[in-house]
Amino acid sequence: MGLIKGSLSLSRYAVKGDTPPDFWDFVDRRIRANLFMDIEDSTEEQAVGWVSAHDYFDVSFAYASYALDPYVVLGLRWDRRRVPAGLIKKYHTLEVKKALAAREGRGLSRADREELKEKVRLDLLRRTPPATQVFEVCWDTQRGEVWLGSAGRAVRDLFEDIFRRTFDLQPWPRIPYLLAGDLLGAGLLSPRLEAARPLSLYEAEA
Amino acid sequence: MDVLALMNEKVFLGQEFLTWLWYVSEEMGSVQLADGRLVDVLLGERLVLGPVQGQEGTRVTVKGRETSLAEARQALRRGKLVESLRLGLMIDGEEYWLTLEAAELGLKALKLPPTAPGGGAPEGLEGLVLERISLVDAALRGLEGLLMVFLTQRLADEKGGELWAALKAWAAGRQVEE
Repeated sequence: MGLIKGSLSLSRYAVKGDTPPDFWDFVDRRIRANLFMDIEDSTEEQAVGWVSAHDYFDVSFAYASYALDPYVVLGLRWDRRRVPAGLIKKYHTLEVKKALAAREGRGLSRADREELKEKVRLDLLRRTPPATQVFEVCWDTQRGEVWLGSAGRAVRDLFEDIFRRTFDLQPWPRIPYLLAGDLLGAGLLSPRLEAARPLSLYEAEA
Repeated sequence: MDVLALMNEKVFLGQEFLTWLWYVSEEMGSVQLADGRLVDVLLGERLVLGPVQGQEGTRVTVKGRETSLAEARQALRRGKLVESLRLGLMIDGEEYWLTLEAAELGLKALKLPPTAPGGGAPEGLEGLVLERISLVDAALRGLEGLLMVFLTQRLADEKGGELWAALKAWAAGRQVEE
């Protein structure tokens, strides 16, 4: 997002719902229960979790460093390792050849080939370091609004899921219609907003 | 609540708001918010127009200044509305630049006014983050103020009140001039 430097891209969410009376203890517990877990030495394909917004290796949150009252500022870390299909195909072919040679020409069953393919995939996954992406998240707990430092659909889906799981609160995207509803409140214009239909400038040409 | 369905059904609100912002930048230059503050609105060098909700058609993307704006105006006259634009906002004497998208009112490439250097100390970093958060907040509240002004006028009646009449005249006026 660029809360420290540079330009920012952000998606906005409204967070509605009750929070417990021990709010900051609750936040601390939930963040720590959903920290990012490293997948460096594994074959896991992806991992998602909370890290410090300033340092994505930091999951200790010393002195509740995420808390800038009334804001909760976090990093959403997403590690993914991907093995290109072509690479799997190449090493699978090599493994099939080796197996056939060892069996002196006796064929391999479909199950054998699938097993070899999975072995190759896991082996390549183990040798492929995950790529890391971090997105800033800023929750204004007073106003009930969250900013996510990304406008990408995949990241938004990921964020919406982990935010809901972490805090038991649903983040609602602040699309124009919902934002307009919040701004107008229950006044006279609210039913007009609901009834509004698209207008056109095309008649200007008539 | 199905947000995706709602977004598709009501995307026109964002398109109309962004088109109004373009109109404001050309015809008014600034808008007085409900709290009395003035916000200057400047058009940046990127504008994307698309068909009005429910209609089919292609998108028109223009970059750069005056010459290509003629193409955007032509698209406007053909009934297209703004889907995305680069915008400058002067709020309380501070200049912000951002790209706004009609569908979700998401912000891209938001350029904030400069802040004092934060230094390497953690407390300096915290101060810097808080300062930048307050600047983002100011930009968002400014935008919300503009949206509120737009909504109040747009919802005056089912035909968009004086606001839509002014937009039509603006579009037609350009046609006469060119």
